[in-house]
Amino acid sequence: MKFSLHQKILIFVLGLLLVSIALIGSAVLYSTNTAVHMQAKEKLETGQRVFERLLTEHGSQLLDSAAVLVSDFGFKQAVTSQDLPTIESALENTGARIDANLIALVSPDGMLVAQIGKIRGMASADLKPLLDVAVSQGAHSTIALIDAHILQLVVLPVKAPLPVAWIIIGLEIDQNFAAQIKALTNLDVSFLAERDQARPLSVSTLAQALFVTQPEDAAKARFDMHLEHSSRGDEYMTLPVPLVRNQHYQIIAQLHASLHEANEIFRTLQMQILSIAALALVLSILGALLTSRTVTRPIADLVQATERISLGNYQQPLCYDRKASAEIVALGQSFATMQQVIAEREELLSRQAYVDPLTGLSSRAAISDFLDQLLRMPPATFCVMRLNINGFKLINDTFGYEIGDEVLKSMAQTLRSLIPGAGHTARLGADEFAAVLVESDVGRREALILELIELIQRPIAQAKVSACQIRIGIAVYPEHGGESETLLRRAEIALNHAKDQKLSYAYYLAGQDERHRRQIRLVADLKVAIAQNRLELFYQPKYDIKAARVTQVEALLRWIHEDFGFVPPDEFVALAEQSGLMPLLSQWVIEQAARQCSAWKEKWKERNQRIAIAINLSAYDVNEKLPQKLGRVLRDNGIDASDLILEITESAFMENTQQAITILNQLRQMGFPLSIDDYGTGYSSLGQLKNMPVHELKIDKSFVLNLDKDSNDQLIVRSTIELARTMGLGVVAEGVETIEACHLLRRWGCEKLQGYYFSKPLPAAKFEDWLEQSGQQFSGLFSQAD
Amino acid sequence: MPVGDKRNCKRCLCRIGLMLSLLMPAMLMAETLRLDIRVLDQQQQPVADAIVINPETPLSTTPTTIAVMDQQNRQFTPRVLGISRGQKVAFPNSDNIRHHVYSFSEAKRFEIKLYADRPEAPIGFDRGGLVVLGCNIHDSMLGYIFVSDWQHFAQTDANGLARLDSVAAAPKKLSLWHPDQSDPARIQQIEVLTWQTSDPHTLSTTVIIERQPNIQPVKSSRFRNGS
Repeated sequence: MKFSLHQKILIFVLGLLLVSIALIGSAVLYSTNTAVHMQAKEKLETGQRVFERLLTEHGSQLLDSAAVLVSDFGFKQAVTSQDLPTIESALENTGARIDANLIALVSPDGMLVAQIGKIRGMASADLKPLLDVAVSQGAHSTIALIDAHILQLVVLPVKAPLPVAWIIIGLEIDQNFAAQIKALTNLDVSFLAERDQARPLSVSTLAQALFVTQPEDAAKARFDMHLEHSSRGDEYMTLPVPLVRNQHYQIIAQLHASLHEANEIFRTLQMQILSIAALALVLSILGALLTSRTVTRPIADLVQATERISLGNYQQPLCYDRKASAEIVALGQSFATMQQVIAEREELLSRQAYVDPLTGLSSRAAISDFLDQLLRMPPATFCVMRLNINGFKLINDTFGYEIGDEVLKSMAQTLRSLIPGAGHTARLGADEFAAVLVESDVGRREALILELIELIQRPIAQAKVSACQIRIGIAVYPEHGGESETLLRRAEIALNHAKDQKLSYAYYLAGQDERHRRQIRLVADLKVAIAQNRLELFYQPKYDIKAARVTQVEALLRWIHEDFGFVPPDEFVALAEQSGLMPLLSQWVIEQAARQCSAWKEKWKERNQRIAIAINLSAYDVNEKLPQKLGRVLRDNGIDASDLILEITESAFMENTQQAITILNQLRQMGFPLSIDDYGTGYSSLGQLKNMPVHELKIDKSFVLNLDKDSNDQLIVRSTIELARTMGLGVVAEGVETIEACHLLRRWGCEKLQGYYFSKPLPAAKFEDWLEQSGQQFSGLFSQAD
Repeated sequence: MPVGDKRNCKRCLCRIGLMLSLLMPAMLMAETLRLDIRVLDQQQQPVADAIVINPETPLSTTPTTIAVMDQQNRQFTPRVLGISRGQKVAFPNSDNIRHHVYSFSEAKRFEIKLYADRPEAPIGFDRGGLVVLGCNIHDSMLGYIFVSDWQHFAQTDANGLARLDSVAAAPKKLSLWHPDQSDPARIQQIEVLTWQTSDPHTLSTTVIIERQPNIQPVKSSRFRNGS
């Protein structure tokens, strides 16, 4: 997920604020909580001192009251004389005065002598520990558990003057007492007494429920002798004050400080902080929104502006808030600068794209645009010219690029002077120029073209580079096309035509473009056809006159194109030669023929009939790799060299005669029968013929087709046969279509005949049928005549 | 120690010694022996004011001299006064304040109400036993009068030493009382294991007794909680 700057700022500010609030809040909570506990603790500690002081005072008062009783001489007399009624009345008197709940007189040996007050049932077990302490300390003031009552009591001797008895006076620690303590300490107080395993006894200013809900927890706080803070439901902090512990029971006081009260003090503070936090939150959100808007709005404006720039609108001045923050203003300024610079650079670039820097003429794009523009409201007619200096490379090579550039410049100058219209002339590439000539009058146009050739040719001629020729291809609107692209292309086709024909200028001829396109298509498809075996070999029989039967066939390539139908072999072979597909094509033919040869060999093994296959090799095929290639094919298919006749066109020897002869010699040694194809069409001299290591000549069909009618042909053929025989070469005639021709050729000594008289070229299967059916037909061809 | 005591004892002892020498001719020792009894407490500290009694000498004669229990500086002086049964004691008041001397002891219950200088008459003690003296005004005043049922007794001095003169023979047992014992009225019986002869006429022994720490009367006891 991608956040906008706006959201990011908001999230950041809010996050920061929430974190701070959380931190401050928890800090305040923590410290107030601590303060509350500290306060409660201090309150408890102060309370504890007050509480202890109160108990002491209370004890002292009790002690003083008891002292009054025991020091009374009359009482002593009563005790020593064991006057029980008097003793009891004295005890009652004192009890009434100080409102004691327990007064007892005990003999030194621990026997209860007299007892008054509402609390009775003082067991000797209770008495013994009290007396022990009193005897050892002379007196005892303590908190004690008597029966089921917590008492503050004093034990004092009756001395006469040695102790003769002990007086025990006790005040019960009850609800009232606890209430008094609470009034003085401002703390809740609880007294807890636990005797052995009995249920604890409690006196408290708090609701009873508070302690007994969780006895386990309470027990720990109740009887732990250390200062401990145990809060109950976060309501109170409790300080245990141990009072008494002996083997029978223990009594503990608990002081409770209300945390709730302490919390109340801080609640206001907490509420204030919360309100401040909430206010800060709201203000920050507003502030963040405002700030982010002041940042993001100018950015959004700038984004719009850059989008406008990217659409190519450089004219509209870039607007940005000049009151925005410094960074935004800086960004806006730099965008404005960028806009200006881009505009300038683009203008420069477009000028460069439209103008050739060397000659100052238009570029290819410019003239194309110009043509488009012209065609929108076209004149009745105009022509597009493509100009090229044939062999311009020679100028550069001979005189250097500076001179070459000078030539180009002068040519541009000439063009401009003759075709002055702006944008009418362009330099397309190295030495390629184009021009649009708007001239409806054909005569004037021709004159201008000739003048142009003359003017351009002159400096080239001065440079004495005679091989360099200006060539011009011309396409005329509207005859040759209605679109700029078409016109330029057809002008180029015309230019190529001019080059091929070595013409100074040539007009585009109808169909050139289509042929051009067909050739491009055929080259592309031929490659696929070879790879996918779409080609086929047809076989045309050669009749051996001496053997009176067919001994050889010539393999001929056939290609049925999916769109164009039958493609003449001459056409696609020529294309294959031009496009470098020849090795592939030859390889296919050789392999196919060898495979067929092998198949027939197998098929007619029993009849011992052998059909040798002649294949045509072009000048491209005759290279040093050929012997090796053929050797491999023989091995792969299990055939002999004599099964394949290699027919090589006469022109194959024209270019590199010596190498060709070497290779042919190799092939001859390998055992391949070699034949010169199309003999008579080339210009091979007799000397060359003499050197050629071939077995036979194949007379071109152009001499044979009309043999029976044309006496010139008869002369040529007859002498050629004689020449061949003289040189020890075999002769084959192709294009034999009549029985008359057959007889003539036989009479002159031709050995093999090939032509439609026998059969047109047939696919392998059809040839097999033909051989079965027609083979016999020709077996006695010449026997009748003789 | 009253002067009269010594003479009486001496006479008595002479007679016993004479009888013993007649009865036991083998004992050709001196006519009388002197017994030195040292009383120490469990901390080997001398115990003063202990009354050491030869239990073999029942009371034969009562001295007519009047013993004196003075009150000086709000103290009974002496702290312990040993007298024979039937003897009288005078209670002069040497302080310039008044005292109210009393006793609730079984041996003698009496009180001499607020008086100064010298009371009208000495008080006779006709029963043997301990009389604990107090002052009703001054709680801290505590005094003891030991009324002896035996003829021959002595009181230890500050060094814990009591001397019994004119003894015919060394007794196997001694009776002993002192004020700082747990039961104030009890007379302890002590078996003497060895008598040591320090010179031909003197036998000595040391008696260890238990002394209870003095309990101070509660003046103004401050409450203190705790165990």
